[in-house]
Amino acid sequence: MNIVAFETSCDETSVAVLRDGRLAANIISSQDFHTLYGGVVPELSSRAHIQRITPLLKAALEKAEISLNEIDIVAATAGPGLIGALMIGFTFAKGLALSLNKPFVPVNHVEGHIFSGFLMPDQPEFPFLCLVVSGGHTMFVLVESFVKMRLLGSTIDDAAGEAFDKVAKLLDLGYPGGPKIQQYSNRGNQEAIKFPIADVKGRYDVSYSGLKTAVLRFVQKAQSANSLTEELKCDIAAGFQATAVKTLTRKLEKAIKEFKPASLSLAGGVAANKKLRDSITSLGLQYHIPVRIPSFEYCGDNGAMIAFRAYSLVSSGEKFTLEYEAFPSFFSSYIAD
Amino acid sequence: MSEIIKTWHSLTEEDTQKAAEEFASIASAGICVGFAGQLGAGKTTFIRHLVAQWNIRNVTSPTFALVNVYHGTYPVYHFDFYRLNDEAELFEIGYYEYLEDGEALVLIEWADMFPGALPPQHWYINFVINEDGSRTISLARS
Repeated sequence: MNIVAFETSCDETSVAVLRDGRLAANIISSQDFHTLYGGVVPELSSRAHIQRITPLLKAALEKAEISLNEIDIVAATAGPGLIGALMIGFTFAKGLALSLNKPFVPVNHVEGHIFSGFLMPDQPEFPFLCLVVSGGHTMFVLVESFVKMRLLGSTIDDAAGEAFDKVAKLLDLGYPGGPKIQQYSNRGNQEAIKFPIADVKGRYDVSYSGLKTAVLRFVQKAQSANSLTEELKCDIAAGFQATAVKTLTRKLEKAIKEFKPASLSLAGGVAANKKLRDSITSLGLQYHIPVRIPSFEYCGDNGAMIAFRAYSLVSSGEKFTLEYEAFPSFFSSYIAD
Repeated sequence: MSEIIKTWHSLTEEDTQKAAEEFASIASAGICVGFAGQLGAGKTTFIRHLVAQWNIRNVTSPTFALVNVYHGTYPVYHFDFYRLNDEAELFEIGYYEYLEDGEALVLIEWADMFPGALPPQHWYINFVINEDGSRTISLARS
């Protein structure tokens, strides 16, 4: 079974080819001009996706040494994401499926992330506990099979990646916020400033709004005292990062005790954060649970995870039609509350 | 022109919740509400308690997605202009089409970034963080 998959939900355009469950190509074109504007610019996103999608498809087919006629399934991210950006890959893929007369498989972007651990040689074992952390999502998901998942909890306000971006902006560190916070943290002392971890009613819900506000108030005080030096910024970044990570690992530990998963997984753009990776690896060691974290290439948005998710759905007997619509907000028929 | 018709002083999230519930009692489908106030001032918190009155529980910050769509007693379109750089981008994200839905409520965070993008008739809720950490929330109508 040969699958070609398109991912255009946010700032990456990506096309991947999966041959019988094995990745043959994963081409990602990061729209790095966004760094000039301090964030993802929707208009630029849609236009850049349009410009890049055909050359990327050609490059992916070439890399996989396959022709369009050999493609059996066409997949694309259906949501959630920026609707204008989503529509480019989604509509392109539908058109391609129609012209090749092959099935079209719409993929939930978050589900793509959840199963990105399967792109690695050591795959997660069911049931596994997956933490999805990105600019738009923070979710704890208990994954029982490819078509049965339980959402244990999520953020009640800001996503983890959004908190990193906003704190980076408060400290004037630049975009993207995640890597910048990490850089500054490395030079700071995480014990110097203690930020509070929010108490949230839901057992597995988290909140980043209070942490963001705590950092804001600290920064404002330092600014009015004229003491916001580079050294202090490093300490703030380190204190923030430590709290942001602990917010997640505290809930993960609770879920490990309650559900005793066979493995742990971490996915999404924030999974590239070294402190978070290290903390989860330590949790796994402590509870003797294998930890399956995708390599950096599969943490950010990528076509490979969309291709694999399509493969897992088709292998599970799921069927879709071309009438399927794209959706900007989170929705999944496989993830129960 | 807008006139301030109500001001709340909020010391805790419960106070913000009460203000949101009070506003919910006068809000109805077809209205547009702009929210302004610095990072962490309580805009998303207010909105969460506001739409809870219409049986919507899954509110999160739309900063990344730009718009979240909720389905409760009324459909609610929850926008965030924070990441936008140019008013023309509102057209790209379909903002003006959402505004035309008379059956829904449109809630906009960081509305002060593009004041001209609000429809002529709208509500405006401004958040100020005071020195002591309390919030002053003021409601105006245009």
